[in-house]
This record gives sequence, structure tokens and C-alpha cells, in this order.
Amino acid sequence: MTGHITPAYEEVAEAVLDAAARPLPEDAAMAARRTLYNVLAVALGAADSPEVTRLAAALATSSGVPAGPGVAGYADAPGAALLTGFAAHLDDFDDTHLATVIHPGAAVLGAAWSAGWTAEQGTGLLTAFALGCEIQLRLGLAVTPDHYERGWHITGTCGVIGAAVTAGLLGGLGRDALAGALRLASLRTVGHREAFGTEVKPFHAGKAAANGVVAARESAFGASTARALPDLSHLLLALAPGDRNPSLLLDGLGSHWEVVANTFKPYPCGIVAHPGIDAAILAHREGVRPAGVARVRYVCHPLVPELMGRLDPRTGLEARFSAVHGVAAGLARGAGGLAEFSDAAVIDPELSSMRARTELCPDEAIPRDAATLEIEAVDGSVTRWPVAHARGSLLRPLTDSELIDKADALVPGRARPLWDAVIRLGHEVTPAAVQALLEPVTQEVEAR
Amino acid sequence: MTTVTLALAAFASGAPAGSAAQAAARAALPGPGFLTGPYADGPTRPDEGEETGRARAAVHWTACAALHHATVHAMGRDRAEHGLAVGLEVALRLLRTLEGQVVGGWDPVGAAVRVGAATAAARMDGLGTEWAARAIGIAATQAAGLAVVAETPLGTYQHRHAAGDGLQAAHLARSGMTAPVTGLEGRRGLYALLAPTADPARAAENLGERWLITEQCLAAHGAPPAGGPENQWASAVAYAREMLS
Repeated sequence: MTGHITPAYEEVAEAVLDAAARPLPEDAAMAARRTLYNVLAVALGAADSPEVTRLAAALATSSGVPAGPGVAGYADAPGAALLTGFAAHLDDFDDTHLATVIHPGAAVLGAAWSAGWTAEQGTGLLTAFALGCEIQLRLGLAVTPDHYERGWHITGTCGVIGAAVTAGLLGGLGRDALAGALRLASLRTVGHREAFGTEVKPFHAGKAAANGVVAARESAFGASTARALPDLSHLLLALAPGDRNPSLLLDGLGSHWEVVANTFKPYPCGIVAHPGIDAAILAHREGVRPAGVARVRYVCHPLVPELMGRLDPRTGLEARFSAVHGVAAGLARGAGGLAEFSDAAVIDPELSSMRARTELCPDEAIPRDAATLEIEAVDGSVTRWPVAHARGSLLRPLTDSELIDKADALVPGRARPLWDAVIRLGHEVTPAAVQALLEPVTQEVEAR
Repeated sequence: MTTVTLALAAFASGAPAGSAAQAAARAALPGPGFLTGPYADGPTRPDEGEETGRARAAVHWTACAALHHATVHAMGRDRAEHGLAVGLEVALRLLRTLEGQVVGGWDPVGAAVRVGAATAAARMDGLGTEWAARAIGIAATQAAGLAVVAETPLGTYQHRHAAGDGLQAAHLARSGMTAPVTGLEGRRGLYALLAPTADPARAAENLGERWLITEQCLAAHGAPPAGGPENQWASAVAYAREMLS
């Protein structure tokens, strides 16, 4: 339990507006650009999926905001935020802030997409996006580890607050109104981990975006009710009844940036399984194949069975929570891309057989970004395949070039122009920057 | 594992609401007497405890959601009454099992309204058990809101949105969104997170046999509009639309 004083909503809003009024430090600006680029590419890559197509139909309106990146048609503002956040997190291919396990880009992208179309006087897109990520990550840190360990999906619960920040900044809200938006957003947090393996997991990110957008739109009501909920203490208590640290919300805001610690996924599944996939791909490259393997001992951090413990997934979405599936795919195919986490891959006999011969062996001594595969061949010999730091982890981050390659696989031919547009953000801070980034995407959809 | 979500979903999709349950649902028609101001859930009345006040709010907002759904989708009166009865019953069962067990200060009314509204809409839309379970799962995962503001204008805000979230959950389930069928009782489901010491199975005890809505004075909770039965229905529908629009 903490003895720190919890900031009032008005203090948070004032700190956010102060930070927004100053140029982003270059490391934060670059981290925000990379986060935005990555999550936008992931959303575009999912635009034609059955899940996004179905949700777009359910939310469709005859006019309003363009429904989502790469999606034809329109939705109302909350609907467009929902669809965009959903698409961005659908494939679990977006990003992860390792200290909190928040995927910060999706909900904030949803808010930015929706609010960006009507922004006239607000903060520039990059700053609004960066601060939306930053505040949700700081809230996450303030309630970590208690909140996630209880079973909450921290991407949705903290994402609402980040989305409200982004939508509020793009909408040009002043201190009291932004505080009002944050107050209302605190009442509509979203997400239980029970939903993992279903479409409700990406729905959390999307609904967080929608709720943040609605909170920003109704901010005047939130500003007029300050007496009923003056500060964040009740929200923090609900999120983490056991232990919380309110000082992490604002200490150093504007000088220290958590978004710099965001990482980007090379594989479309939970990040704790990534070192195991790395090791399996390494073994595949050295000639190991499932036909020659008797069994695999997968020595891993205890969070792997906790978060990725599905042993016999039935769908591609379920496979994203199956560490043994990732290892099987790596050994059989030497890859761990979207094709390896598709519905078809899940029922591939070679993969299902390999899954059954893979045993998770949690070990407290193994760091989160490390794993070792102990592969016993059919002749009884055993080889060890250790990975000290997974690809995409903080100590082995994806380079700009790798990010562009990832985007090119998701949206062939569009990765470089999108990169060029995102890289310009922050150098042009006028609201026109929002259109400069988003319009080419929309024009392409309308031309289809 | 007790399959509470599936039991409630089966109840939502198929259980007949008898005449007593329908009469009780009619007695819960919402009206403006519930609110003390345009954005204020009524404070606990002098003659009622906090528990009754929460039940009153859950009934009011679940009923608003059910009637709103019925009128937007042009449901017949009989179908709407069945949906209303089922939704209210589920909301009250959730609330009763959460009462006194919630940790951290979450608002149990919001959880009850979301799931009750989703159940009512699922019933009116004719969703089968699996689809109704998805609706409940999508609604349950949004359980949120803070009890500390429940009797302030912010309480109205969070309960009004809870009603809308529940209706949207049924809509998304109907459109094909997949969801956990253990959204209530699962290891990381609603009960585990909001009220880990509560027994979810109690929410499904004697479903279809015992109707809580017939055992409570719902008229006092709903504060129905004055007038004859037809006028009451029309007034309640108009009121519900206004509340959720």
C-alpha cells in the first residue's frame, strides 16, 4: 500500500497539457512514431479479415467517420474508434510495454483515428498519440503487478484513460474539460483476461478507444461533476486493491518517457512466448525438423504457462495463447508469422503432433525474454537451444528496417510510403498533419 | 467448473416467463419518478437500505435497456415483456450474488445492468444458448464503474452507459463476435475479479423455477408512470428511449 497522495484529475490534465505544449524529446518522438507506424500497419493488415469485416458491418452507418484504416464505409465516432482499436489488436501482432504488458498502441490509435477526423484546434497527432500512450503506461505502472495478476486485461482498463487523453488533446480540451474526460473514462474501464483466445480480447482495445472518445465528447459533464470524484484514488483502489503507487502517474512527466520502452512484436502472439519461437526457428535453420524430434522440453518463465498455456488450440485466435504451438510452428516451418497462427495452421497434423510432444517447464530463474528448448531427437540425443533475449525485446529491439519489413508483409507495397508519412509527424505540428497521414489510406480504400 | 454463464444463457434463450413473472416485469416499467434530477440516480430513500437502492437502480436501468431495444427493433409487446422479465431476473440474480462481496470499490449495479440488458436483448432477438452466452460474455467483460459515485450524477452516467453496453453486447454477439462462455464464473471472469469470494453458482440456482422479480416490490424500484396499462407501457417506452438516446 502506498502513502503517496493521489493526484486530482485537474492535476493530471494540467500536467498533460503542459507536456503537450512543449516539443517532444527526440527519443519520445521517435518511439511514438515507431509505435504509431507499427500499430497502423497491423490494423491495415487486419482490415480484410473476416473478424474486422463482420464488426465493420455491425457498426456501419451511412455517414460519419471513415470506419477504420483500410476499411470501406463509415461508422459513428465511437464505432470507428472501436473498429480501429479492434483491428489493431486482433492479430496480437502489435506492441508490448514489457513492464506492464500493456499493448499501448491499439486503443490510442482508435481514439486518434476517430478524433483525428474532426480535430480543428487540437494538439498535433504525434504529441496526442505519444501522451495517450504515456499516461496509460504510467497508470499501468502505478497498478502493476497487482492489477494484471488479478486477471484484468490491462490493455483495456488503462487504455480507456490513454484514449481519453488522445481524443481530448486532439479535440483541443482545456484543463477542466480534459479532467472531466478522464473522470468519465475512469468509470468505463474495460477487460477481463477470461476473454483471451476470443474476439473479446481485441474488443477490449477497441472499446477502450470508443469509451475514451465518448468521455472526451461528454467532457463538460465530467467537468461539472468534479466534486463527486475529485481524484484518481478510487480508480487506483479498484484496479489494484492490494498495492499501488500513485506517484508513478505524474513524476517526471515530460522528461522521462515510458513510451520509449515500448517494444514491437515480430510474432503475432503473446510476447512471453517469443523467445521459445526464436529458439525453435534457430533449431529449424540448423536442420531440426519435427520428424526427427521425439520430444521437446521448453524451459521458460512461469508467465508462459500462465498466459500462453493452451496446449491444444482449436482456432488461430486460440493459437495466439499457445506457446507450444509457437514452438511447433517454428520447428516445422522455420517461421512464426500470421500464416503460422491461422486457423489452417492450427489443424496442420505436423504442428498438432509437435505440440503434443512439447512440454512446458516453467522455471523462476528464467527471465521473461529468455527460454531454452531441450530437444530430444528420435535417436535419443539431446540438443539445447537457448535464447537470452527474444527478438523484439528491449535488449534486442526491432530496427526501423525490420519494422518496415514487418509492415511490408502486412500491407505489401504500402509500408514505405506509410513510413515516410509517419516519420514526418512532429516536424509539422499543425492539425493538417492528421490529414496528411490518414488521407492517403482513405483514398486508397475509396478507390477500391 | 460450474457453467453459470451457459445456464443463464439457456435461461435467456428459452425459459418461459409465466404470468406472475410478466406481471412483475410490467410493475417494473421505468418512469421519471426514479430520477431526482436530469442526471442523478435517486439517492437512497429514507425508508430503504443501500442494498434496496442498488436493486432499484439495477431494475430501472435494465428495464430502460430492454424497452429501448424493444422499441428500436419494433418488438411486439408480448416478446418485449418476456425479454424484460428475463433481463430483470438475471440482473437481480447477479446483483444479489455480488452484494457485500465486491472488492476494491467496483460498482455491482453496472455489472448487473450490463449482463441484464444483454440478456434481455438476447431473449428478444431469439438468440440460442451459445449466442446468448457470447452476449453475456461480451457484457460481463465490461463490468466497471465505481460504487463511490453510484448515488451522484456520475452514477447515472455509468449506469446509463452500462445499459447501452449491454445492448451493444447482444448486437455484437448476434453479428458473430466470439466470446468466452465462462465470462461470469471463469478463473479470470467477472466474479473472480469483482467478488472473488462470491459463489457464482448461486446466480443460477433454481433458474426458471424461482423468480426473484416476483418476490420483490419492483414497482417501488421502477417508479412506473401513472395511467392505465397501455398508457403506462407507451410512457415507459418513451421514457426509456429518452434515457438512452
